[in-house]
Amino acid sequence: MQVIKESLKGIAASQGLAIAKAWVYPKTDYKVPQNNILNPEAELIRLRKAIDSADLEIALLAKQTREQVGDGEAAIFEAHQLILKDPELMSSVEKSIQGKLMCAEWALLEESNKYVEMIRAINDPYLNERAKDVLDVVDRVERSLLGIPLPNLSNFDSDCILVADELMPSEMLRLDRRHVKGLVFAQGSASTHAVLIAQSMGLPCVVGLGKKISELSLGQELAIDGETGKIWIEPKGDDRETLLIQITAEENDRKDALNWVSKPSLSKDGKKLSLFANVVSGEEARIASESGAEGIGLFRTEFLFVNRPEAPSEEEQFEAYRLAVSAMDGKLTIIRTLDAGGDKVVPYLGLPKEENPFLGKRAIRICLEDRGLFKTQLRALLRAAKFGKLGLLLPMISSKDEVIAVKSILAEVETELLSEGVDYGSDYQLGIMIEIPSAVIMADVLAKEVDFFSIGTNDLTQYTLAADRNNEAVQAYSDSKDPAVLRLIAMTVAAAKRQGIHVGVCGAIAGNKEYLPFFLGIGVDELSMVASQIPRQRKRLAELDSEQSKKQSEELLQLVSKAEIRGYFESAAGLLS
Amino acid sequence: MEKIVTVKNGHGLHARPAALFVKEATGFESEIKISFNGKEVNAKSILNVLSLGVDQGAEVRLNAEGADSFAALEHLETLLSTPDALSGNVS
Repeated sequence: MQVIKESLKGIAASQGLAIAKAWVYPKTDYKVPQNNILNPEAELIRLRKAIDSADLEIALLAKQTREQVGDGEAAIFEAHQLILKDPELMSSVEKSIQGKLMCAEWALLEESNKYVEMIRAINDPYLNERAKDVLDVVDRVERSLLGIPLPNLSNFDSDCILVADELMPSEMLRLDRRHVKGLVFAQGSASTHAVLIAQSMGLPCVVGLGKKISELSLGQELAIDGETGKIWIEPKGDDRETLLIQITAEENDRKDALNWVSKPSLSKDGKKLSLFANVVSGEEARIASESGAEGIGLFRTEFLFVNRPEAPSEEEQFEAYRLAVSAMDGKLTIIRTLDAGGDKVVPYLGLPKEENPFLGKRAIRICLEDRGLFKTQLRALLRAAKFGKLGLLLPMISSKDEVIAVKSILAEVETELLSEGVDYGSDYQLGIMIEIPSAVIMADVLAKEVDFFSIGTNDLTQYTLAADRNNEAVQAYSDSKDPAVLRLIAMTVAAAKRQGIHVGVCGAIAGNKEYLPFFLGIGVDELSMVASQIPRQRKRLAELDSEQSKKQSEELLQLVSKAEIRGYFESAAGLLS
Repeated sequence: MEKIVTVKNGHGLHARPAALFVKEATGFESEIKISFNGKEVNAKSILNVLSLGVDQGAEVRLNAEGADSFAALEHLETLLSTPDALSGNVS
């Protein structure tokens, strides 16, 4: 007897619940026919027409991607066009049609498979991945031959949960947001570009299904929980009822939050606390703006550098940064220079394996040594500064020496741009991440050197408490509800205030409601979070009184243990609800 | 005509560099072949060039026959032997 599973467990990737019919994308909703034909001439004409129409489709995609995302991602489509018009592939397909009287679909499948196998056999994982590109192009031509259109991601007829291996960022941006209620991916990482965009959009997402994804089929009703990673297949009875009630509640909550998108970020008594968004790409800035972000508090540039064989060119980076800066239309756009190393591996940088990567050569330490890499990024950033209000943020600063070193490189870059006659903006702001305790201790000194501080609470917690945030065994130690961590945050803010510079918080707790009165109370200028959290955080802010929050934060800073702090947060939550 | 060239591009002829190389080769009228590791293929075929798996520092042989063979070899040699010539955008 076949056992039908009722649920699957994946990896939680983007919060929220959803229930809808599965849309399995795009794989094999057709079978390639293997027929013999009578008229090879007519078959060749059919093949050429299909190739021409595929060519038009790809050209259009390339154009859209270039406009919406940037040249870097558009380049892939240009490679697709070369594959489509490959003279060797085409001549062998034509030979099979003429010599063996195979139908065009069959001939194309057989001949292209030879190349797919050849490319997969090369001893290079990056190159092996390119077999996907061949399959993609072949799929497009087969569909054109068979008259089966590719599903259009930006236009579904009814609500669905999209099931796919993974989507490209450009596909994510085109998603039909009215009908796509959730995402299920086979790939296993909760921090890919597509997943981060899903978080920005507030779209529930579960990943890491791997081969189990084939257990989900088109039209099945699915429910997903993006907070636990659970997937229900054809949920029934009480399960389904409970889910529906929860989803309705979430939706009401979301609708309510939407009212706060375009309101100012003010406490009940009118104190300003700006709410910014964290993004990983230029195009995401647009989504952030739609969620009511008053600026970009953290553009992590790492994503431009990973999953590729070489560093992005100056032009490609410039396009991405310009896109973000222009999308924010004069609002502060803080872009952080490459924060590689630690848990973020970039293979082509050729970094040695370290015993202790978090305490090793990462972020600014790499950039100060690899001048070519750093200067290319700084050039792209300064050129983008001309298009809006740029904040240039340096990660992993442990002392004044690094800031001085970067300033002298920046001066060099400006001189070079000037002598080359390249347009750039010189009125950008320079800021540093406060994530190493030494930077907090020296905050009064550092505040005189820069225009703003951005407190990275995730790393500040792990470095202060000497507990690796990715190590399950020391999770209990790695907790930002620690008196030392809260005091360091308050010290940093006080130092920034004394010098009159802007101070923001960009770690995970910036979007957390528990900490909001604390941040308001100690006088943080800006909180930067996942864009979809902004409206809710703004609503909560409007319920707070700044004077009362100040008193509460002072009380909180008197507490001396995690247990006391947790207790304080719990009783505060009790009072609020 | 033939030329032996050492590939200086940081990542050999992988993906984007390969696409740019093929695009440039396609711009010439001559028949152009590239050989590596005892395998000779059409330099205007992205699939064949990719399947050669040419690494950085590899020696490849370029062969061109046709009216513009001289110019083609000159141009492609420069592309392959200049470290960053193939790292830019494809367009």
